This record gives sequence, C-alpha cells and structure tokens, in this order.
Amino acid sequence: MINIRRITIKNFRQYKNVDLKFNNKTGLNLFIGKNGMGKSNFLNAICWCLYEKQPFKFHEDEKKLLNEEASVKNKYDEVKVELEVGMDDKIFLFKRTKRESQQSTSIVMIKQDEDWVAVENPRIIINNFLPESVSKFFLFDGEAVQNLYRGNYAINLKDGVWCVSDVLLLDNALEHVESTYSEVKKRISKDDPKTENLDKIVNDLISEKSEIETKKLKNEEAHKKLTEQLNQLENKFKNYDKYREQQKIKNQLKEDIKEVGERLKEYQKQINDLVIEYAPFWFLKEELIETGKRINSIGIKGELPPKIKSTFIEELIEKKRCICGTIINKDDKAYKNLLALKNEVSPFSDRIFLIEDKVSINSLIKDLSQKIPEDITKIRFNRAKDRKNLDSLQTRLKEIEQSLIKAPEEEVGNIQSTINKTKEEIEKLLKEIGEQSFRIEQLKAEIKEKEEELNRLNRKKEGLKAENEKSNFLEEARDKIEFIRSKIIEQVRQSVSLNTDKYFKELIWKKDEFEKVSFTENYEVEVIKSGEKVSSLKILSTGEMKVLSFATIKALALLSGFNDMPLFIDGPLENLDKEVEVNFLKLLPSFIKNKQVFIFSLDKNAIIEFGKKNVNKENFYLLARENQYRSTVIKQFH
Amino acid sequence: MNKVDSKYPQFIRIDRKIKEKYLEPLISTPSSQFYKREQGEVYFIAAALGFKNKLRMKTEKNIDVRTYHGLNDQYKLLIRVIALSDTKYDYNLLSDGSKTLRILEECANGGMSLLYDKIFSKGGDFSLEDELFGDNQK
Repeated sequence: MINIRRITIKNFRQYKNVDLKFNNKTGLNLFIGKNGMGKSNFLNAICWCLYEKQPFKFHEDEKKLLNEEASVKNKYDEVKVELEVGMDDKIFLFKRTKRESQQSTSIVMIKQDEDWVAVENPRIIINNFLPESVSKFFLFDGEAVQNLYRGNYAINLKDGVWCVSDVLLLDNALEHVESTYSEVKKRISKDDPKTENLDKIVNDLISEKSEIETKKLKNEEAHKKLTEQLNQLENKFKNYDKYREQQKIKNQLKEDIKEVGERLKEYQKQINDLVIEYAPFWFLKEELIETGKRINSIGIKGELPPKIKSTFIEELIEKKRCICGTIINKDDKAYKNLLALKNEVSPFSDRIFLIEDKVSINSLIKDLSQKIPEDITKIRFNRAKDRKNLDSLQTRLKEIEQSLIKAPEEEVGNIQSTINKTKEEIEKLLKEIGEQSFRIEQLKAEIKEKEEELNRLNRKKEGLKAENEKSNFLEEARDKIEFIRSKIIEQVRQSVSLNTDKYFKELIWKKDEFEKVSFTENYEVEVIKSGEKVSSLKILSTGEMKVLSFATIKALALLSGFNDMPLFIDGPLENLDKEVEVNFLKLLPSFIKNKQVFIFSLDKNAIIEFGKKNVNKENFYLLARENQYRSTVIKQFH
Repeated sequence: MNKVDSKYPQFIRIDRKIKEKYLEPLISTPSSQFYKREQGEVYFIAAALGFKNKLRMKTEKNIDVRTYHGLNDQYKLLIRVIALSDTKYDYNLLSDGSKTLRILEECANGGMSLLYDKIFSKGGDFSLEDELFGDNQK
C-alpha cells in the first residue's frame, strides 16, 4: 500500500508555500478551485519533483518556475517540492529543489527512526514508487483523458499497453543487445575475410586441374601405346631397309634412263630434221655440182642476164625517166639507149633464176660437203656416247632388278604410311601433353597461391570465431527477448482489454446496453452494444467515451503493477453535460475505492455537492488567491 | 619472186593413187621415219630418188601436194636442177613452169614407191641417215 503522507510546495509557480498532510491512507481528497488557481500545476509540482517534468498545461504567464511573489522578493530563492510517501512500512521523502541559474537537485530520503537518510539510488526508489512511464495513468488531466480515444487511438492504446507491460527493462536489454550485436557484426564484417569467392576460385582451379590431369593421363597412355606400336612397326620396317635402298637406286636409274632416252630422242630428231631437209640435195649432189658448173660456164659466155633487171629498164621506159632520174622524151638519146638496153637484156630474161641459183648451189654444195656432215658427226658422237651410257644404265638396272629383294610393294607402303601416321599422332600427343603439363603447372602455382591466401584468411577467420559466437549468442538473445517481450505485451493487451471491459461495465450507467468492450490485436476497440458488434467509437457519447477512457486508464493502472498508487485527477468533470456529471459522480466512489485519490476540480455545484456528501471535511480543500501576487493558498473547504 | 617464177603453177602435184598408196602411209605410220613429217619434205626426197634412179611415172590423175609459191628457195632450186638435168640444160624450159613442175611430178611419182619400199620393205631397219652418211659412227 502506498499513500501520500505530506506534500510540501515552496515557491513553485502559484504556490508560495503549501504544506499539506494527509491522514487518510485511502479515500478521496478533493480540491476545488477556479481556473488559474493552479490545479494543473499541483500535478506539475508532483511530476517536477519526481521526474523534473511538467506535463500538464499552464498559462503563459506562469512560465517562470519560481513563484512570482518569491521572485519579487528574492529571485534566487529556492523552489522546492517534497513528497512524503508511505510505502508499506517505510517512509520516503522525495525532494527536488532549484535555484535561478542552477540545475535542479533531487534527493530521496528514507526515514530511519526520526531521521531522514539519503538513499543511494534515488532512481530505483522513484521507480518503485511510480515510474515515469506509467505516471500518466495515475496523474492525469480529466479533460485530456478523453484524448486517449481521439484520432488514431490504437497508437495511444499500444503505447499504454507497452508502458504498463513493464517491458522497459526488456526494451533496454534489447536495445543494449541490439547495439552490442550491431557493434560485433560491424567488427566481424570489417575484419571477416570474404573467403567464399576464393573458395570457389580454388575449387574451380582444382576442378580444372583435375580435368586436365585426366586428359593428360589418357594422352600419356595413348602415347605409350602408340610408341610401342611405332617400335614394332619400325622393327618390321628395318627388314625392308635394303629393299628401300635398292628401290631408290632402281628409281634413280629409271630416272637417268629416261633422261638419256629423252636426249637420244632429241639427237635423233636433230639428225632426222637434217637428213630429211638435205636428203633430196644429197641424192642429187652430182646434179647440183654439174648445174653449178653449167651456170658458171654460161655466165662466162655472157649468156646470163645482166645484173640490171629487165623489169627495172622496162619501168624506166614506161615512166620516161633516165637512170639518173631525169625526165626524158622518146626522141632523147637516153630514151633510145634504154630501148637498146632492153633489147640487149631480154634474150636471157628467162634465165633470171640462174643468177641467184649460181650462188645458192655453191653454198649448198659447200654445206653438203662440209657443214652437214660435221653437224651430223657431232650429233652422232653425242648420240653414241649416250647410247653407251644408256646401255650401261640399263645393265645396272637389270642387275638391280634381279637382285631386288622380294618385298611386296604394297605392304612396305602401308607400313611406311602407318609409321608416318603414327609419328604424326605421337607428335600431336606430345604437343598436347606438353601444353597440358604447362597448364597443370600453371594451375598448381595458382592453386598454391590461392590456397595460401585462403589459409591466411581462414586463420584470420578463426581469430574471429569468438566474435562470431558472441554474435550468434546476441542474435539468439535478441530473438528470445523479442519473443518474451511480445508475449508479455500480448498478455498485457489481453488483460487490459478484459479489465477495460470490466471497469467500463462497472462505471457505465447504461449497463444494459453495453455487452462487451474489447481490444483487437491491432488495438482497435470493438463494442457490442445492444447485441450489435461495432468497431467505430462514434457510437459512444462524450460521457461514454470518458467512461471508456477512465476504464482503460484504470485497467492500465491496474496492469502497471502500481495499482495501490494514489491517483491524481485534474478536472474529471470537464466537458461533461450535467446528466453525465451526475452519473459519473455517482459511480466515482466505486471507481476510486481502496486507494488514495486526489481530485482537482472546478467549483461546479455538482462536485461541491458530491464533496460535501462523500468527502471528509479535512480532505476537502479550496484553492484560493492569497494576495496581489496571485499566489495560491490551499485551505479547508467550508 | 621474179616475173617468170610468178607464172609457175600454183601447186605442185602428185598422182592421186601414188599419194594414197605411198605418201600417206609414209607420213601416217608410226614406224615410218617420216611419221608426222610434212608431205612436201617426203615429196622432194621421193622426187630426188625418182630422178636419180630414173624412175619416172606420168600422172593419171593428179592431186595437190602443196603450193609452189610457199616453197623455200632451196626446193625451188632443186626443181630447176632436176628440170635442167633432165633436159640436158635447156634453160628456156625454165620459163615454162608447167613443164618444169611436170618433170618434178613424174620423178616424185616414180621415186615415191622406191622410198616406200626402202622404208617398209626391210622391216623398218632402213635408215635414211645410214643411207646418206653410213653407219660407221652410230
């Protein structure tokens, strides 16, 4: 059980000096005051004392914390709020003071015997009394309470549920875990070597190397086989070496014979050409000689035509020109001379051949006697030489052919061809093997390099093992905390929903109309009114909405774990019509039973009447102006 | 070409039968020494042999062997040597181309069979070369 034993306010806004002692551990303490008397600032004073916050609205002219009267007298005077609180069997004093231009100071003391002793961890005590997060469910503005269900109220409800779920510790833990996790991850990410790509590269290289090695092995086997095959073939072919040698000689002889044969043919052709050309003259050599003599003889006799041809003389006569080119007449001596010359020449004109024949015959006879025989002799000599040569070549060829080993040409050819092919294949294989060996060496070097790099990185990775374990642990812890947190919040939501329904039904005067009020998982309110399920809150009147808000706040307060914490309500009847006010006030005692409640209200008749009937005189207060400085005093209501 | 020469007949001729029987086999038989030689070359050898061996034969029905005017000077000289020798050097004959060539033609007709016999009768052993130059230097 918690109760407010005493509240002392000094120099806090309107309050110059307030010192209230409360003897009732439960029940209502009613404060009536007009606007501006400091009802909200009373709650602000309590919040300021506990949290150094002033969440309730105040007028612009109340900006200064220090009381106006005190400020006039001594602007450095102290502002002080003290709460003496009974918590179970202990008594604590929460005290906050502040002076102009200074930070406020807070102190929490515990009463030991008659002395006040400062506690070591004031924050813990404050949180045990009323944590700031849930304070809004114990100190609230009645006017503002309706705002809980205004606009996007789901956020407000969710926020409320979160506040009372007491998951702050979990949230703090989660935040801490998240932040540590993020730092660890960052460290890992910064230091953790990326080995995946390298792993893949190494694996690819190893795979390529293995593939090439397999191919190389196959090639080496093939090479071995072919080499054996080649050796066998070459051994076999050795037997044919002599044959090949003889074959070579034979072929050379054939070539030589062919060449000599060609030359002989040429000689024969030359001789034939000469023989056929000169044969007629050779047969008639005597007749040629005789004819030559005869022509010489008639030449000597002058029976050959002159060297001037008759045709030439005839042409001169026809054109009437002298031999010297001069034009002449028929009467001219020169013309007559030409006619005489023509007559002189004409008897031998048919012998014109003989002039040239005389020369030709001499030359021909000379050729037949000397040149042709010489040419023929020369060719015959060469021919005889080549004939001998040919005979010798043919003899040798014959000998070779006789001594030639009997070897089937086809077989030898096939072996030779197979040997050549095998050699080519072996060469090709050796080339491939060479290339493969080179590539394997390259790959080995690359693999070695990459593996060294990988090992280095793995060693580095090993060094990060602890960090990784830490990261995993943090991840697990985060998940677990989140799970627990969401579980708690969900449970609280369900409880708030159930209790809201309970309190709403307790408070609402139209009990018959409302069957159920509940929150969905999305914090939307569903109301079953007159047998109809409605999701919209528009069906609720202002008063019903206020009741719902109070019910929710009470449910939240209950779930906060501080249910026996005193309640401070500012203006519970604000914005309510008369009928609702009456109904609300009727239900108020049941709403606040078993706890200490402080209500600050305007001086409305309804509440005054209510106070007179339901509140002890010593717990019924009036807030009033004291002097020109607008300081408020709190006195018994009479 | 002189004025007289131009009046010579256009072709030298041979008896058709002689040509078919001797000349053509002489130049178309592979074993013949005159295989693939010109008709004119064989013709003049035959004419020389005909004249030398006094083998004359008139033409019954002649056929052209080749053009007269396409002959070289040496063959033309041979024609005149044969004609002059045959006529005991009647130089006036030379102005009569037809007569001159007829002597040649008759000699060729006569000599062609002799040549044919020489070439083919000895089983191909005959050699004009040996005939002319002897075979001592073979």
